[in-house]
Order: sequence, then C-alpha cells, then structure tokens
Amino acid sequence: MMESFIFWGVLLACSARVRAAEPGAASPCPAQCHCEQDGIALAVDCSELGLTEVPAAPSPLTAYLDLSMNNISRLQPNAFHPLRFLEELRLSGNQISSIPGEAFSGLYSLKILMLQNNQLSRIPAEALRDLPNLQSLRLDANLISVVPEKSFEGLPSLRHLWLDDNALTEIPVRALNRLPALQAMTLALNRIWHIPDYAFQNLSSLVVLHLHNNRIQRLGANGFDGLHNLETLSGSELHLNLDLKLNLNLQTQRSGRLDLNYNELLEFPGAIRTLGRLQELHFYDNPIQFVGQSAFQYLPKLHTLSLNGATDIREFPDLKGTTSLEVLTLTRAGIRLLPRAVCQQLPNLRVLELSHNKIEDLPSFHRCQRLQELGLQHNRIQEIGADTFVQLTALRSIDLSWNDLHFIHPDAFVTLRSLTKLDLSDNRLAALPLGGLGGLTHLKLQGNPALSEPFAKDSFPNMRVLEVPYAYQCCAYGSCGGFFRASNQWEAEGASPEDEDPHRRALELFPGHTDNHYDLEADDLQMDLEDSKLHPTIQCTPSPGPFKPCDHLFESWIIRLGVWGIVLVSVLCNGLVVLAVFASPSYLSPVKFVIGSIAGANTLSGVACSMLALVDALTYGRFAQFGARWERGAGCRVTGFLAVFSSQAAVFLLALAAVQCSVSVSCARGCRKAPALGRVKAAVLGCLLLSSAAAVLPLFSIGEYGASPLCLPYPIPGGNPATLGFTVALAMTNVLCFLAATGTYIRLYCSLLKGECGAVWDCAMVRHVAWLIFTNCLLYCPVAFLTFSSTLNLFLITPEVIKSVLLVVLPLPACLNPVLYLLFNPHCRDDLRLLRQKGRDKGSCAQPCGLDDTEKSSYDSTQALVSFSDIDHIFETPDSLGAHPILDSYRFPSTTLVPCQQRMGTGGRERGCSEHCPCLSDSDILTAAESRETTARTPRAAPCPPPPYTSHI
Amino acid sequence: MCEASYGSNPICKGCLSCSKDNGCIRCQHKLFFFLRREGMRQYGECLHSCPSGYYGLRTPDMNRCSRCRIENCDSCFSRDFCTKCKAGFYSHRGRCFRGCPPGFAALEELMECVEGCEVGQWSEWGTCSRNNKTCGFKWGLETRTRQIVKKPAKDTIPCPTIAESRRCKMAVRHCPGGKPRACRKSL
Repeated sequence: MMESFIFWGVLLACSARVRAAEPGAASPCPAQCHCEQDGIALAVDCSELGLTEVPAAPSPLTAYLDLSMNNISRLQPNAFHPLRFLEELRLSGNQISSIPGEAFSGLYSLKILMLQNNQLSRIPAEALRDLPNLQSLRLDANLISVVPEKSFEGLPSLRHLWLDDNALTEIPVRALNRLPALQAMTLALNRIWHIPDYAFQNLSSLVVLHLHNNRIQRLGANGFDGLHNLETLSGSELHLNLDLKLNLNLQTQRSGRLDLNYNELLEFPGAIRTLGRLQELHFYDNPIQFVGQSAFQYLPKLHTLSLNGATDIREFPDLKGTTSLEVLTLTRAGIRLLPRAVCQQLPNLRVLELSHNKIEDLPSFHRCQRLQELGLQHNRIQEIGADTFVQLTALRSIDLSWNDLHFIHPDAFVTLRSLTKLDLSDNRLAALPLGGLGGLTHLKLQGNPALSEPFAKDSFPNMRVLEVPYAYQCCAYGSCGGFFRASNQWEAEGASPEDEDPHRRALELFPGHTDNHYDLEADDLQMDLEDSKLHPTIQCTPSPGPFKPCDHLFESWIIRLGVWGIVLVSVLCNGLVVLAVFASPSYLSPVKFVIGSIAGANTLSGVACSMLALVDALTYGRFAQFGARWERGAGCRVTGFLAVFSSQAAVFLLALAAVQCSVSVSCARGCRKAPALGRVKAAVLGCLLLSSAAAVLPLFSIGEYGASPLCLPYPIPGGNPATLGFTVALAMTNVLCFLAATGTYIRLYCSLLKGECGAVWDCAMVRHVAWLIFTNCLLYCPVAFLTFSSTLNLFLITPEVIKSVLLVVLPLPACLNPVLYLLFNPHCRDDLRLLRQKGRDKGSCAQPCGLDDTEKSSYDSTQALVSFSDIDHIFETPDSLGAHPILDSYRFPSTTLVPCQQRMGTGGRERGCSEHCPCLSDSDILTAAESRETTARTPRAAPCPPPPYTSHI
Repeated sequence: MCEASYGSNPICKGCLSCSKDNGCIRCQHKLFFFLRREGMRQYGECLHSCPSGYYGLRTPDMNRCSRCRIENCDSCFSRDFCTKCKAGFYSHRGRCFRGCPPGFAALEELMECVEGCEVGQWSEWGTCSRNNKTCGFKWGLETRTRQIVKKPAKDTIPCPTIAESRRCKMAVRHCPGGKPRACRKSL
C-alpha cells in the first residue's frame, strides 16, 4: 500500500513535496485524526478534536478533510495550500469569524466548502476569489450581513449556495449576478424585507430558490423577471418554492397604508404571472387576507397551489386557465360554497385540501376523475349524497372529520374502487353505509357517539387501522391493541393518514411551521412498514380492556359473587334498618333519624349495584353487543345517578350525624338547647339536595356516567379531564367530610373523657356513629387513593384492580353500615322487638289496643334503652366505674320519661315534656331553666346536671 | 468517503436535553436534529451537517435533517433537488439520471448532464450532382445540411453531423448537346 502511495506520488509530479513529506508519509494521517484510504485518495476526519488550528501537513493526496466541530477561530494564509486534490473541506461548527484572503489558495479541485455554523459576519470574498471548481458553498448559520459585490466572482462553477439563517437585509443582487451556473439557493431565515425588480435576473440556471422566513413586505412586479426569461429560454422546470412572509406590520398600518398593502398584495400575483413555468406556489402562514378572485387564473404550468389562512377568501377562486393544477390547498379560509364547475376547470386535480373552511354543501366531484385525496375536515358539511363521489375511481383517501355529517347516502361510496382511507371522526353519524368500503385499510369513526352498532370482521378484509367510537366494536378484531400501541412504530402507523395529507406535505416543504417535530420520520416508518409487511393483526382503537369488556361486564366470579352479595346484604339489611328506624313506634331521636337516612341512601347504593349485576347477568358472555347501548342508555345514567347520589348522601349524612352528636353534647354541657328534630330534618334534606346536585352534574356533561359500563364517573385509565375534575372534586368533598366527622368525633371523645356530663349520653348511638365513621373512612381510603393517583397520572395499579375497587370496595360501606347497626346497636334490637311485638299484637289481638299499646311499647323501649345504656356506662366510661349512684339516679328519670315519650309522639303537650327532657323539646330557654331546677334534685351534684334521658341526643 | 459515523450508542453532544434511551431530544442552537434509526430503535443526534442521504432544513423553531426524496441521490439541497448523485448516475437540474435526457450531453468528469449541441432541422436534399455537373452521369451525390442552433456548454462535447450525402440517380442522364441517348427519368 505504502509503495503504491509513493509511486503515485511520484507519478503525480509533486515529487519534491512528497519527498519532503516522506518521513511523514509513513504516517500521512495527522495526529489524532482518523484517516481512510480510498484508492490513492485519502479521507481525513479531524472532527470533534478540540483543535484550535488547522493540523499541519495532511497528505497532499487528501481529497476529503473534515475539521468540523473544533475550536478553530482563524485560518492561516495558505493553510491548505498543498492540498491541490482536496475536493471537500468541512470547517463547520468552528469559531471562524474572518478568513484571510489566501486561506483557500491552491485548492483547485475543491468542490464542496462547508463553513456553516461559524461566526462570519461578511462573505469572505477574497478567500473565495479563486476556487474554479467549487460547486457547493455552505455559509448558513453565520452572522453574515455584508455581501461584497464581488463575493462570488471567482466561483464560476458554483451550483449550490446556502445563505440561510444569516442577517441579510437585502437580496445581494449584484453579487448573485455573477453566478450563471447557480441551480439552487436558499436565502431563508434572513431579514430580507423586499424583493426588488429584476433581483434574480442573471440566475439563468436557478431551479430552486428558498425565501421562506424572511420579512418580505414588498415584491416588485418584475421581481422574478430574470428567472422567467431564463426558464422560457432553457425550457426546463422551475420549482420556485415561495414562502413569502408578508408582514402587515403596525408601522405601515399607522401610516395609513393598509390599502397599499392590499395593493401590494394585488400586485403580487402580477409578479407570479411572469413565472409562466411556475409549478408550485405556497403561501403558508402569510397574513394575506385578500386574494383577488382572478389571482390564479392562467398559470398553465402551475401544479401546486397552497394558500393557508387567507380568511377573507369567501369564494372559491376562479382557476380558469390553470389547467395543470394537481394539488390545491386552500385551508383556513372562509369558503362557503364550492362551485359546480370546479372539476371542469381542474381536470388534473389529484389532491384537494379544503380543511378549516365553512363549506356546507358539496357538489358532485364526478369530473375530477384523477382525484386521489380529498381533505374536507373541519367544515360544516351535513350530508353526502349519492352523486358526490360517484365514479371517482382514483380516489384513495377522504377526510371528512369534524363536520356536521349526519347522513351518508347508502350508495355514496359504492363506486370508489381505490378508496383505502376514510376519516369520518367527530361527526354526528348514526349509520355508516358499508357499500364500497371493502378495500379500506384505514377507517376512523371515533367521535360519532350515535354510531354504536358493531361491524362484522369480514366487512373490511384489508383493514389495518380502525378507530371506532366504542371499544366494544373492536372486540371482533381481537384485543391486541394495547400491545401494539406500546411500540413507536405502530403509533407512527396510526398517524400515517394525516402525514400523507397535503397540508402536512406543505409543512414538509415549508418547514418554518412544523407543529410537531417528532413526526418527521413518520412517513418513513410508514414506508418501511409497508415494505416489511408487518401486519399480522388489525390495530383497532380504542382497545377493549377491563373497563370495556368484550364478554362479561364482571370478568371474574369473585367480583360477580361479591357484587351480588353486596346487593343482597345492602338491600335487605338497609331495608330492615329503615323499617326499624322509621316504622318503629319508639322515639325517633335526631341521630337515629340521620342513621335511618343513611340506611335509606345505602339502600339506593344496593339498588345501583343490583342494576349492574342485572346487566352483567343479562348480557352474560356477549357484553360487547350491548355495551355501547348500555353506556349511552338511560339505564346507565340512572345507575350512575343512584350510585353517586347514594354514596354522597351517605357521606354527607354521616358527617351530619357526627356534627349532630357533637353539637348535642356541647349543648348539653353548656346547658343550651340542642338542635331539634325539625332542624335536623332540614339538614338531612339539605344533605340530600347537595348530593343530588353532585349526582346531577354528570348529566350536564361535567363528568360522565357513560364513560365506562360501570356507569361511575370515576377516573378510568384514559378518561377525559372533566370526569377527572369531577371525581377529584367529589373525593375532596368526601375527604373533607370525613375529616370534619373525625375531627368532631375526636373532640367529642376528649370532652367525654374529661367531662362529667359525658357519662349521660347515648353511648350506643355515639359509638355507632363512631363505628360508621371508622369503617367508611377506612373503605374510602382505596377509592380516594385511586382518584388522586389518577389525578397525578400515577396508574400504579392495574385497571383490573381499579375495577374491582370500584365494584366491590366503593359500595361496601352500604352493606357494612346496616350490618353494624343491626348487630351492635341496642336501639335496633329494641325497635325490631317493638315492631315484632306490634306486628304480633296486630296479628293476635284483633282488638285495637289504641293508645295503651303505644304507651306500653314506648315504655318498654325506654326501659330497655335506659337499662342498656346504663350497662354501657358501667363498662365504657372509665370514670363512671363504681358509680352506682349514677345508676340509681337514672332509674328514676327513665321511668318518669314515659309520659314525655308519649307526648313527644303525639306531639300534644310539649311543655310538660320539656320539664323532664329539656334538650329534646322545641321550647325556649325559660323552660330549659325550669327543667334545670327540676333535675337539680337528682343526687348527683354536677355543675351542670345532665339531661335525664340518655338516648335522646 | 469518511462520514462521521457513530456507534449504536446515543451521543449527547450538542444536545439541549438528552435521554439515555432516545439520545438527543432537543438540540443546541443552529445544530440539526437527526433521528437515527436502527431497526425498531431510534434516537436523536445533533449535527452540524446532515449525513449522507439527508438534507438540513433550518426553521425558526428547529433545524432538522430530512431524508432526500430523489431517486439515486447521495446528498441533496432540499427535498427534491439533488446535489450529488450516486455513483454511476448523472446529475441534471437536481435529478439523477442513468443516461442524460434528450438534448443533453453527459460530462463524464463531473458526472453531469450539460446542454448538448443543438442542431436545427435538416434542409431539403440538394440537387444530384457529380463533379459539379448535374448531367452526364447515371449516379451522383445529393447533400443536405443542418445548422448548429446552440453550441455545446463545453468544447469537448461533440456535435452531431451537420451534413450528409447520399447516392442518387441523375435526372438527366445525358447532357444536352452530348451523345444522344434515350432520356430516362430518375427519382
């Protein structure tokens, strides 16, 4: 190898130099650099080495020298002088701010010179003086504002020039005049504010010109004249990618030249006219508001026209004579009507993109025989007739998303043989005619809530990406969606229909306006995927899961049995409790009333659960068929309403019970009047109203009952934010209620501990409420955790667990509350006994027992209650241990209370009653004071004698 | 050539934000974001110039490398303008050709199609003659010519023939006043 190297060196008659370099020729590669031999030529890569200077003496046979990404700040004159065979020199990404005149001397073979990403403030005209073979010159991403007139004089072969991302304010007309071979040039991302007449006159070979992201406000009528002449002479194509940012800036508006701006804009098409060879025309994101109706007439070569955001265009432009047009994009304008003749004028139209307009009615596209893509999203189209798309055999994709479509004629798609992509998402469709859709590979239907029927799998034999309104419709296609969505490739695949639309294509061309940076290779992926035929299954979204089950609403028997158990227990036991509380003739204390109401609410929970259980049983094994209808139906809303109402009511009432207990105690201690039953009733009513208000909200689309077949507005994975907000609000309220209840109770407990009066309260009821608070709090913990974890997007738990929590744990209090009451509360036993007795009495002695009966029963009840509570005190209250006097003292008032009870029940003589039980009555302070005197006779010498009756809080 | 080649590990050089799995997510000012794909994996890199087969696009928000869409192109200026064709292909106005289109001549040293020699229409065939005489022989030669409309871009490019002749039968076999023979009309 080395011999041949020397041999060639000699042969190439640079003998003196090579011999001088011969010791170095043993290592022709500069230190640290990476070299590759390519024939006799050498490629030297010295990039990213932190070099501050050009390394000394690379081999003279170097053809490629990469010095990019170093810290070179200045080039020495003749730095590359020996490298007469150098073809490519990379100096990008250095700190070069100026280049001396002789820096590149001797580089006769240089074809490519890269100087991008440096600090050049002017074009190094002297250095570029003699590079006869230079073809590509990159000067982008510098700070160039000065272009000397003779900058490019010595570059007769220059074909490609990058001057983008600099600080140019003018087009360097004179300098460019000396580049007759220039074929491609970009002046994008500068501060050019106008294009003077004849700016490009001498650029006779120019094929590509980029001017986007400048500040061009004015364009001379003859701005492109030179280009025009040349093109007609050479007969070749001109792709003028024009993206002129025409700023209607405040200055011009202040000086009253707004109309002039319009004039300039009207003048603009005039300049276009001279570009008879113009093939593509883009106005993306220009503040052009008005374009004359005839602006685009007679541009016979124009094949692409895109105009975005010209909001003042109300009518479709007249395109007479622009017959070659293949791609037409007119988005974000105000077009209301498409003329019937649009297809006659544009027989070659391939892509028609009219999204974000106000089109209400579509003409027949029958004559657009070559139409392949049609974008009509975000319009106001209501119907698709039978003749709208008739015979468009080339049409491949239609986008009709975000319209008002409610009817598609059954034959609308029948003749579309090539149709593969159809987007009908977010419309109001109730039915989709399947005729002609057999070839579809992409179909989007989500956002059509009324479209709930399942599709048979054989309707779309070629389907690859299917998006349906309901996950149940995906059941037929297998449920592997989750797996595929996990990989990026399939995401890209899913996004591909959008990537192919012409709007995106415009973005690709005019990258100044990309919204999404990371889909850039999406169509590459799509391409690759199509090549690799990696499509074993259909990707159907939304994919079924635990919250969109295909077969059974309750997927496991444990849940099913659990729910049925909850239903049975909660309905039966709560019914019993309600019966015991409300139907019993015994005294109905406020707390008891609240407990009864809680039981009522819990019954409703059981009813809601039973509805779910019934749905599960009725749709056993084929839930997918009914899922969508169930979710949308009234049954689901009723269930959801009941569930939310009952659970909220239970929580509110529990808090109320706690507060009531506490208030009564403090009233009693302060010897004030406790809230009476009437007020408690009002508070209960308030609680019920509050909870029904909470339950009604999802019906007005704050939260949603139909989001899952469980009809609970609880956050399921992938739920919408409104539901999440609603749930979080509910959870916060509930947590607050629980906190309030617990806090109240802790206070109560403390006061009972030290207070002497504490001993007198109805411990059974107080304890029951405490139990309720404890169990409900405990059972609410997982629900609250679930809610907050989903707020923070921490779905640490699997959807299966969430589902079982929602189904089993959420209604569990409803079934435990009554059980607690039935098993542990003495009142209940008494009430039930009374009830039984009453029933027996009614049954056995047909003789009406009348007043005596109630009197007796109430007497019994109070007897029982008092005795029970006394025992409670003995065992429960530590400071009442060995307090037999208390026991004694209570025998007395309890017996005396019988008439009070009865009077309360009959509601007749309250005054007499209040003498004995001041805290119960509705009477005023005075009577309470009297009662104090009467009760003061009790042996117990308390600073504030307790009310004599324990159970009536 | 010696393209900057990186291993399979993402390089966080030039990144504003970088992740272990996906490489660069955002690039420093003025660098091109390039999404390198390896099988099912892809990761970002920040480059001063895009690798072969890609072109750099500068935008106000982001600079990125996009793939050249021209067939047989090695490096390109924009989506559909090639600056360097693959070996064996001639470049012509941003496209790559196996053989130059009509009217263009291949310039081997630059691998480019340049404007060839343009010639006009053939003229009508001239009169049939021999030794500057139009009679007295049975066979003669007739000639037609065409003109060079446009000279080639390089002198090395040959122009097609601009004159050609063919054998013809003379219209008048015997010159008037010569030896009398039967006159025969020829084509």
